[in-house]
Formats: sequence, C-alpha cells, structure tokens
Amino acid sequence: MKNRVNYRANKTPSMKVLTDSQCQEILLAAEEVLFRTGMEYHDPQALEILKKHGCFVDGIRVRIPPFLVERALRSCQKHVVLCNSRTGKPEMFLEGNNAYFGSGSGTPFFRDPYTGERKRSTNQSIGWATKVLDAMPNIDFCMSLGLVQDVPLLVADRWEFEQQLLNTSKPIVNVVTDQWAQADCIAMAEAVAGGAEELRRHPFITLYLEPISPGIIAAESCQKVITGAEKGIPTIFTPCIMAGTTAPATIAGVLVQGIAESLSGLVLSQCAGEGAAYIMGGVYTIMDMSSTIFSYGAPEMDLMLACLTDMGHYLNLPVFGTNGCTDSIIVDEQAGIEAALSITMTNLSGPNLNHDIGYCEYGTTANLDLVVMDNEIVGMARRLTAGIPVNENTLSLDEIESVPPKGRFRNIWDTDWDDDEDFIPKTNNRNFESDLISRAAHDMWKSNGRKSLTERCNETVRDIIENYEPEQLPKDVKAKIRDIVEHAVAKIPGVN
Amino acid sequence: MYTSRSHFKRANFDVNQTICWKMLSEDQCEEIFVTAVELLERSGAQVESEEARALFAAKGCWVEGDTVRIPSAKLEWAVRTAPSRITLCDRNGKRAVLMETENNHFAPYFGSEKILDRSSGEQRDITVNDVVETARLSEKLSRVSLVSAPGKPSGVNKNSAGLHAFEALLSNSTKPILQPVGNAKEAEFVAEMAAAAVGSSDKLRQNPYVVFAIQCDEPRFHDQDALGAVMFAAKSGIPFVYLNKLVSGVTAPLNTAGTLVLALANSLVALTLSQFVSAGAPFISGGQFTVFDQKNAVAPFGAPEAGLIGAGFSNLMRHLRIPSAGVYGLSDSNFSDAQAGAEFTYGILTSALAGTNVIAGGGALESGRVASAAVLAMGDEVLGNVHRIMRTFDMDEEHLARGVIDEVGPGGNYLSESHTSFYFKSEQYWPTLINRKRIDDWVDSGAKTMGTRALEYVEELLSAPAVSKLDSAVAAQLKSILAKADQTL
Repeated sequence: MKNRVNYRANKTPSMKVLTDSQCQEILLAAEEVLFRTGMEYHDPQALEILKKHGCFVDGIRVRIPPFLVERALRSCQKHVVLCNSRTGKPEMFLEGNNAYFGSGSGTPFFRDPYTGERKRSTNQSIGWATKVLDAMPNIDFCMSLGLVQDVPLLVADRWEFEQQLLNTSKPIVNVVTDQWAQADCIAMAEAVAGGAEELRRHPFITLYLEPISPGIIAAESCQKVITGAEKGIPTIFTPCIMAGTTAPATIAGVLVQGIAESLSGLVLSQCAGEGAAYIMGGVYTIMDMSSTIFSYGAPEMDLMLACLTDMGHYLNLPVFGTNGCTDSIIVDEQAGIEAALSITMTNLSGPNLNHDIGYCEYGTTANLDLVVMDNEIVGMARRLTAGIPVNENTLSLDEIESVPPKGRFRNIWDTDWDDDEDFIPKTNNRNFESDLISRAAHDMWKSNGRKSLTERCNETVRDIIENYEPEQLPKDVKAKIRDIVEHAVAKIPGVN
Repeated sequence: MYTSRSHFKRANFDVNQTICWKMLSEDQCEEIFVTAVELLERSGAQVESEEARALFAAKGCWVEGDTVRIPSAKLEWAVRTAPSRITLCDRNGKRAVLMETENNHFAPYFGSEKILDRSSGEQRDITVNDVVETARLSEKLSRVSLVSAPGKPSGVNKNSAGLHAFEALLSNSTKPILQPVGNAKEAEFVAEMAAAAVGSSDKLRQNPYVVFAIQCDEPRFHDQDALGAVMFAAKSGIPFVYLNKLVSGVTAPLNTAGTLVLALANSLVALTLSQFVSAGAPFISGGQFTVFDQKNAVAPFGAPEAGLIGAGFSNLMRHLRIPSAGVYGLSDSNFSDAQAGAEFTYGILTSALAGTNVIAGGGALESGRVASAAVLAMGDEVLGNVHRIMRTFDMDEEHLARGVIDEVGPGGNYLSESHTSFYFKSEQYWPTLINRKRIDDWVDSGAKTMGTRALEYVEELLSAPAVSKLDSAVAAQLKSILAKADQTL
C-alpha cells in the first residue's frame, strides 16, 4: 500500500562528535605541526627513507611537508581484513563503522582467578587469558592480557605470542619489544599460516607500536613500521597521550597532537612501502591530577576516542580504539559503569579494533572476570547499535489492531517474515540474552547464594580454564613455533 | 596566549556544539506517528471514563460504546496545541528545570515497593523517613533536578500514602517534585498542598512546581482513574507525565517499531483529552519499556531493550515537539554490584543521548522493585560523566594549541605550561565517587568498592543539617490538608 519516495532511515543509531569542518580543521592543524614543529625519529633507516621522499631532516628532527601527508593518506590501503589463524577465512573487516572488540595487552599483573590475588603475569596466566578470550562470543580479537615474567625476560614476548597462538584461532594484535622479536613472531605466524605469502594474503596478526609522546618515534618502533610495510602486515600505531602532560590540556589540543603523531607514522609507513595497511590508534586520556594516573575510565577518554573515530572516518583510515577498561582496582560498580560507558560509546562511534577489555587498575592488572563481564556488555551495546527497523512489517499495525484493548501480544517472532529481504540479519531484532546477567526474583537470588555478577563471571572463567578446548594447531606447526621460541636468544645481536 | 594564527575571519564553519546522536530519522519518526494516528482514527482506543467519552464526542470524535476513535485532524491539532516546552520552578518560584529541546534532567525512580536498608543492606518496607532522606539526599545531589519518593511509605493510610510522601518531599527539598497520582481525588490533594507551599494555585500554575505521573499499563486501554487525573491536571494547568509502561511481546508487539506505535497511540489519547479539556495544557509523554524474558519469566527493565526502545520514544517526542520523560536507568540486579553499575549506566547513557527531558529511573534495583540511596548517588555520578561527554569541547585557536605544541616540541612536557594550568580544570570532569587512587592508596583507605563509598557518601550528605525548612504556618496548613486526606481517601 505504501509506495513512496524520499524516505531516509537510520538503519542504526547515528552519532557524531565532529563535523567535517572540524575534522578538516584538526587535520590541517596537525599538518601544520608536522611541517613547522616536526617529529623525532630515532632510526637511521627511517631518517634516510624520509629524507629521500622529501622531508626536511635536521639531525633526528624531521619536518614533514604537507604534500607527503596528503599523499600518504591517499596511498594507504583502505580495505583491511584480518583472518582466522586456523582457517585463513576473513573474520574482521576493519572499515567504516564496523566495531570489533578485543582484550588489552601487556599488563605487569593479573588477578588470579582462583585466589583473587594480584600476581605478576606468567606464561600460564596468558594461556588462561587467551583461552577465555577465545571462548567469548563477543570478543573478536586477542591481545595478550599480560607480560610473561616467569621465563627469560629477553625473549618473553615470544613465549607470550606462543601462548596466544596455541590458545586462540581469533586474530591477534602482536605486541613485541624490538625488531628481533618482531622477526621471530612474524616467523611464528608464518609457520601457522603456512608461509610468508599465505600470511600476506590472509593476515591474522597485526603489528603494534606506540610512539613516545610527544613527538618521538623510537628506533624499534620505526623498524616495526618499516617491517609492516615490507611484510604486508597491517600495522597499528597508537599514541598514548595524557592531556596536560604529554599533550596539551585541552581536548582539541590533544587531538591535534595525537593526529599529528599518527600521521607521522603513516608517512613513514607509506614512504617505506606505498600501500601498506595502516591502522590509526590512539589512547587519548587525561592524567588524574591528584593521583597522576593515566586514566583508563575517564569520560574524556570515551569522548576523545569518539573524536579520533570521526577523524578516522573523515580520513578513511581504520581506527584502533580503547574500551572495556577501568580505573577501579576490582570488578565493582565502578568497573561496570566505566566498562558500560566506554563500550557503548565505542560501539556507537564505530572505531574498528577496540582493545583493552579486561584492564583493571588503570591498565595495570588484567582481570578475566572483567573480560567475561565485558563480553556481556558488548552484547548489550550491540543490541542498541542494531537500531530500530521501521517498515510496514515492524510497525505491526495489523497486529496491534487484531489485539483488543487490554489484550496480550504474542512473544514469538513471526517466522513468515523474511528478514533477509531488508538485509537485516535475524539476530539484529532478537532480544539480548545472557546467562550471567541476573534477572531473578529476590528469593531466587537469595537461595542461589546471593552472588554478584563478578562472582558469576569468575565461575565462568574457571569453567573455561578447566574445560574449554581451543582449536588445536597441527603438531608440526606447534613444533616449529616451539623451535623459534627456543632459539630466539641466539638470534639477538650481541647476545652469546 | 598561544596563538599561532594569522588574523583571519572566516565564514561557513559549522561545528557540533554538543554530541549529535539520533536513533530514528525524521522520516522514521513521521512514519511511526502517521501509523499511530491511523490506528486511533481507524480502530481507536478503549476509554473507561464516561466523562472523557462525552468530551471526546462533544469535540467531534467518534464514540461507540467504550471505544473512542479520534480523527487525524484532531490528533494533529492536539500535538500542535500542547506546549513544546515546560519550565518547572522550585518551591521558591525560581526557574529550575527547562523541559525543552533535548535537555536532560535526572530524578529518583518513584515506584519501588521496598528499600535497601542502609545499615543492614537488607530489603524492608519504605517509611516516611526514607522519603525524607531521599528528599534531603536529592537536594544535595547536583544532577538530580526533580525529587520524588522512592515509593509509597508504609505505616500510614494506604490510600493517602502518596500524600504523606508528598508532604515529606515538600518539607525537605526545594526542588520540583515528580509525584505519581492514582486518581483525580489524590491529584486534587497534591495540588492543594503544592498551592499552599508556593502561595496560591495561581502561582502554582504560573510557576509549576509539581509534575504528576499518571500510569498507563495497558495497550489501547485508558482507565477511569488515570483519565480522571489527566482531566484534573489539564483543568488546573499542572504538568503531567502520561507514563506508558509497556512490555514488548506481552502488552505490546514484539517489534520495537510496533511498540513505539502503540506507546505513541496511548500517549496521544491522553494528550488529546488534555487539550480538549484546556487547549495548551502542559503535557509530557513518558515511557518505560522492555521486552519479556521468556527464560526467567520476567519483564526486565534493566535490559538493553529498555534503553533501545526508550531512545526511540524520546526521538519521536522530539520530532513531535512534545517534552519527554521516562523511567530509564533501572537495573535488574538484586543488589549493588557490577551488573547494577553496567545496567544503570547503559540506561542513563542511552536516554541522555536520546535527549530525554526527564530521566526518572535513579536509584532502583530489581527492575524497579527496590530503591537504594547509594545507587541513586552513583547514578548522579554517571550522569556527570555522560554530560561531560555530551557537552564536547571548544575548538578555537587557543584550544587547538598549535602554539603550545610548537613551544613544547618533541620529548617535552606540558605539565609546566601555563596553558595546562589554565585549562585542565575546565576541560576535565572531576568525579566524586569514582576511584582514581593508585592501588596502595586505595588499600590504605580501606579497599572499598564503589558501592561502599557511595553508601558512606550518602551518610555524609545526610548527616549535614537540613537546610530547606518550610515556614511553620505552611507546615501546619499541609498537616491539616493531610489530615483531611487521611479521612476522605
């Protein structure tokens, strides 16, 4: 009955912090910073590459002409896909507003799921964490959730990566200390993928680095960018800046500083290998002025990530976001508040790879109970992001008229209705379901032992650690990986 | 101070002065509206009140038995005629709450059956003293703009319990009051007491200080008591929320859009009636929604769908230029834990982003059955966080800080810059209950959960002397009205 024109629908909720004018203003301010003030690159090879492409190199200070920034923005790969490590099938499309969720990386401590003690992270704790991440349906990719500290520290990052490879088939963001570790980890990933070309065609890892804000890129970091460009592996570049210490106190100033740093990495990557896949990261937050912590739960962090995301969309770059973390020491109301706020905001603004699920204590301690809880919150956020489809079917006029006043409606989805016709996956309209969220009546909750969500999450964590089996790697691949880990020390120049 | 720009002036620079967020587009809102109008024109609604039916008939609607069908033109007239904005005033007649555009205001939930005892942590009946404490607490919480009782107090006449609560609110807070009323008689007493408090009923009309909440829980059915209260409110010019409490899959269609059609149709019946009684009567459209959870056989008002549907409803009201309210920010958790934190945050964030004018779900657990002062205080903190996000930031040359970035340079530190000391206070939100202490300091201060800190904060606020005492003559007047109500109701 309804044949009409000019019907614009929000298929999903829409959110914007910055207009295109504002995005342009920030981009141009960042270009000005790069041209006038410049960055410092502590790596001779990087300096040589940048000089060759037309940067003004003065010692380690490099001033980047705007045309190079603009060329790099055009040349980098826009369609970035990460695959399953076992099957090689594409699993994550890092584009548009697609929001994927994953854990945080190397915390020095973890909360023991059996004793509740705060301990130094171990090889075993990373294995446990990775298993839990693999088992969680709303977790899409993995970071390690700990720094291995019970093996030789010089090569601990290889052990860490081995635990990840063994315990998950989900894409991995690989964080290592230096170029030798990077070479080893890429070799391990190639062993899993079945060769260098396979890894290039079906990347399941990304490289990861952080500049030293403000404005310094260390030698190891430069080398990672260059390696990523050469090996064809997507590279995440994440300025971690604190308003008021490593960046200006104003949010606009943080954005200028952060985007300038991100662009400095982008220029290096595109000069090292035109077309390299580059993911713009950014943990922009505030320093709490009384405790001087780098806050992982401040509302400013959520706001600045939404801005970074608007910039990413404006620049057509994939964005690496931060959410699901908390400043709270334990998983209490505050953890729930900060995780819900950051995850919901993140899913609404739409950065692509969103890490730091499971971070407690301002990013110092990994907590697996929080991982399981965040998995639920991601489910809640995704229910909101699914939006409200409005069409003749969903408006349900006939159904409403067929039920008399004061009557009762059916609680079963109409199977005659083909959701696919509207390209709405069936799950979009389904209600959020959870085994962990309590909706019990008071007496029932009492007789079930008055448990908190955190306690129920902890039970799930233990159950996964004891009973869950991730998909195994073939024996020979495991042996190859082990071999690389065991011979890692020998490959580092100056050791032995 | 740190400018690096040349002296230009420019045009055509558009900014988002706040976050821009929408669940539904204008076309989608219109589509839902026309469907609801079609529903009321074609199939109508059941109106239990004879007086209301007579008025509908007199104004040109089609009445047959209990069923009233309202022509499109009448509905559209009513939507146009009702005010798009309502200013609420405090007890002293000062402007306090602007219910207009997409301003958010926070209020405690008013429909709990029990309250969490602060010392034992156990549930118990609500007393008049609990209402007094909620009022005093709300007075101190900066984001709570309207006060309401957590529920009807026990230990007094059951039929006038709401009025006892109202007296306690009036006497212990100056903020505007959101007062649930069950029928016209009760509403009259509330109006009489409010008029006594502000001076006269004319003053009450000019400086609205109380908002009625009138409940509608059924699809296309409007009961006599509720409509009686609606007609009284319209006649006396007191703003009221017509609050749709609907559960998709039980009292509403499973489809979200269908639920919105039904909720809007319910609201439009009350809206049109109020405009027929008195054109221009202040009307607020309210919602409390969720889906039915088959597994647990409950209607969970802390579910994400509560936020989803509510956000759609608030967008719809913005499209129609009708002030909106809703019971959002409840939790299904049985006590204060991480689940409660996540759920009320989710509810508050979504309803705030959707531009809901009154978010009336503060401090409620177990899907609203239980009130908690600590949870109310935490909700206040969450709204502070959310408002920090919503207001975004300035982006002029000073804030862009290119000058200071150049001065500090790579490897430098901004901490000692005067730009930092000038701006860090205004750019950051300063939390009260959120912990940002380092672990050792946190352990030293007792290793407390946020729930515990919130409880202590509540005790601290309540231990301060009450400030908003009523004039003793007014207090006596209120007592006599209350005595009258105890006898007649």
